[in-house]
Amino acid sequence: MARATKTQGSLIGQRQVKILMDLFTYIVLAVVGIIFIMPFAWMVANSFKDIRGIYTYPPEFIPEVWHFENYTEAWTMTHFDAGFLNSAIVAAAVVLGQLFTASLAGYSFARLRYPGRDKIFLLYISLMMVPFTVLLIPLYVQMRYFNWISTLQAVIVPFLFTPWGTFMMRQFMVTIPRELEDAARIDGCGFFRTYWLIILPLTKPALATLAIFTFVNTWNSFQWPLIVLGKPKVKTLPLLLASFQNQSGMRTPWHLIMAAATFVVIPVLIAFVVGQKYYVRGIVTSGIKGGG
Amino acid sequence: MIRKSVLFLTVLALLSLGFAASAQDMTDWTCGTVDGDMSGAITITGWEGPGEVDKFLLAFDEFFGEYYPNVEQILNTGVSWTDYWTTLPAQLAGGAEIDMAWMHDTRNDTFAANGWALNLDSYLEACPIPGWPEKFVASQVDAFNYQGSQYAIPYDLAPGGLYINLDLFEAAGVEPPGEHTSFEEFTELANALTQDTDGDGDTDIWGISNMVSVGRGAGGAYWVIKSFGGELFNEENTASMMNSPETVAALQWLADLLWDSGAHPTAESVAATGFTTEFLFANGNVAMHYALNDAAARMWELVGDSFNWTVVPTPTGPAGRYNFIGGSAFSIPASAAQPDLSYELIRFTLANPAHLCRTAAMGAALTSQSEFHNCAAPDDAPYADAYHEVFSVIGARDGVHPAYHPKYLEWETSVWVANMDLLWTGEERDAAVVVERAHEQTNALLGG
Amino acid sequence: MAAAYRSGRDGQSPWAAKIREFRLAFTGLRREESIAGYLFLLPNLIGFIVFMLFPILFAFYIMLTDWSLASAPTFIGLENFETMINDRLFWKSLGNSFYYTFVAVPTGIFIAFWLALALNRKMRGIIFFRTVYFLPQITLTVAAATIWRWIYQPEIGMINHVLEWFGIDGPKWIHDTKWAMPSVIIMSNWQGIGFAMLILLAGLQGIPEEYYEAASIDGASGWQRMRYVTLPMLSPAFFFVIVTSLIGAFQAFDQFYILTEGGPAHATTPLTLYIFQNAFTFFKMGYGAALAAVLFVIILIITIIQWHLARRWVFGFDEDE
Repeated sequence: MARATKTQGSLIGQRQVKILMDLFTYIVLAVVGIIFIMPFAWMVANSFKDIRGIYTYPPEFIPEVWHFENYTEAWTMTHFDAGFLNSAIVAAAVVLGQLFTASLAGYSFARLRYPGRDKIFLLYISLMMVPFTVLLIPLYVQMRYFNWISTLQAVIVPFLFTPWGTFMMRQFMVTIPRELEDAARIDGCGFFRTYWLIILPLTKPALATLAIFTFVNTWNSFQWPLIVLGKPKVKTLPLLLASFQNQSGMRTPWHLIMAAATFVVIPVLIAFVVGQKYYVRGIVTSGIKGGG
Repeated sequence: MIRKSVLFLTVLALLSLGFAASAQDMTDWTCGTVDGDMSGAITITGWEGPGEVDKFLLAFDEFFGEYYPNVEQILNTGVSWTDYWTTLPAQLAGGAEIDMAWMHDTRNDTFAANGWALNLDSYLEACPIPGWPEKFVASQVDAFNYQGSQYAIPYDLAPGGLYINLDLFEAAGVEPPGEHTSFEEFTELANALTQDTDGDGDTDIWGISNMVSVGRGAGGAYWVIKSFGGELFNEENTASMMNSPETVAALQWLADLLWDSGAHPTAESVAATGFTTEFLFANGNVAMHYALNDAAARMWELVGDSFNWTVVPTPTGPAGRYNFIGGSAFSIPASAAQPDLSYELIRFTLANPAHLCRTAAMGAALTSQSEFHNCAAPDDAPYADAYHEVFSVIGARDGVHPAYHPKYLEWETSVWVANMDLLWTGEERDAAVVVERAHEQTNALLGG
Repeated sequence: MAAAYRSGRDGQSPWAAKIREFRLAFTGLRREESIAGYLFLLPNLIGFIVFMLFPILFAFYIMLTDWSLASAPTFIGLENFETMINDRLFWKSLGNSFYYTFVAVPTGIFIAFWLALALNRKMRGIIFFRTVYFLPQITLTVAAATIWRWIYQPEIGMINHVLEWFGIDGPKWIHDTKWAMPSVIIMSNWQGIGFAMLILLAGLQGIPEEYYEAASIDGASGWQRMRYVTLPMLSPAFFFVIVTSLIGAFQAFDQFYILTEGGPAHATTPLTLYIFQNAFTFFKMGYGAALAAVLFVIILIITIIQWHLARRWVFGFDEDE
């Protein structure tokens, strides 16, 4: 709003430049986008084919006959309804937990001053550097000790803490103008209230990004759940999806896998589009007004 | 009084008769080592998914339904190949209670040597499996034997053979190969079938595919090496025998299919995705496709009626006829909570003829070749007779596999694949050069 | 203000200064802030101590042992590290890890940055495009791998088919020891770019509009706005993307496993895959843990170097301590 009034003088020229730039951007995005969308489109297309259609070489995009029944067949073949519930519980718990712990620690690392802060920070993010392969067995032993094997706790609780997310939150919080915080502090806000009322609303794009990442990663998480979730009733979607597969691929019903993969991906797509809502600029302005 | 005691006695007699009858049932297909009233759970894991595990599931359900109705089956199947071999050791090392694990011949010795798998000798002695071992395929009994003890009981077979497109043979005016075709004749045949149909200078139809593959283990070439009279290791698996002229000749023959005659398309790697190269055959681009028996059902699905095809045996070499054979087995982890019950289940699955015939009808070649087990392969398939002949009869008879010693997997990854891939990618076209390097590295690994 | 905060430390013994600083931090006005700082870290620290400390200590012990997973580990001191010196596959996979990381990361971030700039524009349907560029993240890996194998197929594949129009005889891509790594890098950038793009996009969205307005009033050109507003304000996000991408690239596993399984002839076997093979295929868990320790140290050194460089270019970095 403020911007429009300031640039009125050269409005026509700027508008034409913007239209040209937009057009150029559209073309580039569309051309490059084809490469990005192709495998996904191919997956969806394959979900409507029969097995012969999938093996046609070179690949054919449009199915000759549309096999909608692949979806019902894939759904009933494994207990996908239970899988959806398990995956949703795990993803929701991990996303909320990580948003909370990461933003809290990120604020602490970015804004609060205390001895040893940066050493702890470096130590904490160095946890990202330990290859997970060597942690699999000890973590499994620990889960057995807690009696968490084949329970959802085993795939939720150890993942409520995230060096990666903490690092990200810190990086976004250091760019927030300090004046906002100082104003709140002068108004008598404690550190937690400042974090809750000032910092969190200002980091919405970053929180949305972390939520999207965590959701995608948790939703698709495979290796660890595979090891700890033995019982069928606690299995998450990727495990159910994998259970279609055979050793040599010879009997694998790829058309059903593609159909299942398509409906499994829908919640992720929704999460992504919803997350976009928080990608709005100009919050800082309102923040200053509201806080000041 | 008397009538009462008669009644009592009668009831008692009837009851004991009933008991005897049920005990009789038990001894039919179980040895009765586990109390039928037992309750609890049995955990079974395997990598094979739907279509493949169905063959066990029927037997498992029957077994538990009939003899152990209070036991809950926890089945973990359909895990991809590599994921399985991560998950299983991680779970076992972490102390998981797994009662029965699907085992592969390439891994048996490693699992046995590391103390993962239970030695089954005492079980086999106390409660023998009908027809064991004389009616089982010898190479597979041997594959799951480590230092004289049995660590797993082989169940199904995976012999190699050739899938051939009869229409392309007819078009080229050549006869399909057979059991007695020599390797030279085979190369000639592959060359005759290779064509550039549209004349643009690029091959459109290849004579042979999937004979070699980037990243493939030694099993895929071992039968050729044996046919030429070569060997990989010495008897004790302590030294390399790879630099023999016969081994070099065998590998050179394979490399020549790619680089000399060009009858073989790029050696596609069979990566973890599970999509393999059969699409070239299924689309009519290849006249002969090397694959194991388990490809048959999928080929049938894929080819449909677009061309005529069948299966034939692989060729015969100067040192005789050999083909690859692999297979899977039932093993019991050393940490199993219910090893006795697992053994009973294995025995039931392997011994019940009704079940085995059903399995055979699902397209699996079986290790157990007892007369009543000798059921037909997918009998409604047009290729059923050829399948039976090529895989169950010839394939089982001439089957060979490399010696799977405890260091085999490490050798395969760090020596075999590292050197042979150069031959399959064409970076090196002289087999003698790569073999020399592999020979030295093998000695360093096995001797060290 | 940052400089003032840091001054006063010079000329003292480092320990005495540290203790003094620590005491100071818990007196007067700063006391509350220090306590809040530690309290805010607490949830993470508890999680770390309970779920990471034991596995990490365990891994540290294991690297000094010979452990086949089944039997008890035998202590062998530093023997695993001695073995490494003569292990040609270790050196090869280490080289591959460096090759992959230092080609994939710069190219990936460069493309992600331009993509983020384009997707940051206020245009109709921009969410659609953002979603498109994010799709590779959520495409079933089997589907992705299959299509890429078709793209790379030497005889009838897509790339070589297109190259043929221009009279170029394309390479064998994933079936060639020299081209396999570039092939993996292309696919993995295709797959991973969405994440870097999204973070940079979130960073761009976080730059207050006022800064651009102020720059416009001062008569800054487009390039100057980029140079003096966008880049400095985006530098924390950039720093995050660079550090985590480097860590991620050194730990990359899936893309290799899916597309090439490390071949041909180990041309695409990174250290992670080699660690994995040692641990779970060769059952040499001790050696695998020792290799993992080497990987850890490499990543740590590279991160620390970046940390020191960061003081020169990353916004908000000199507010430390």
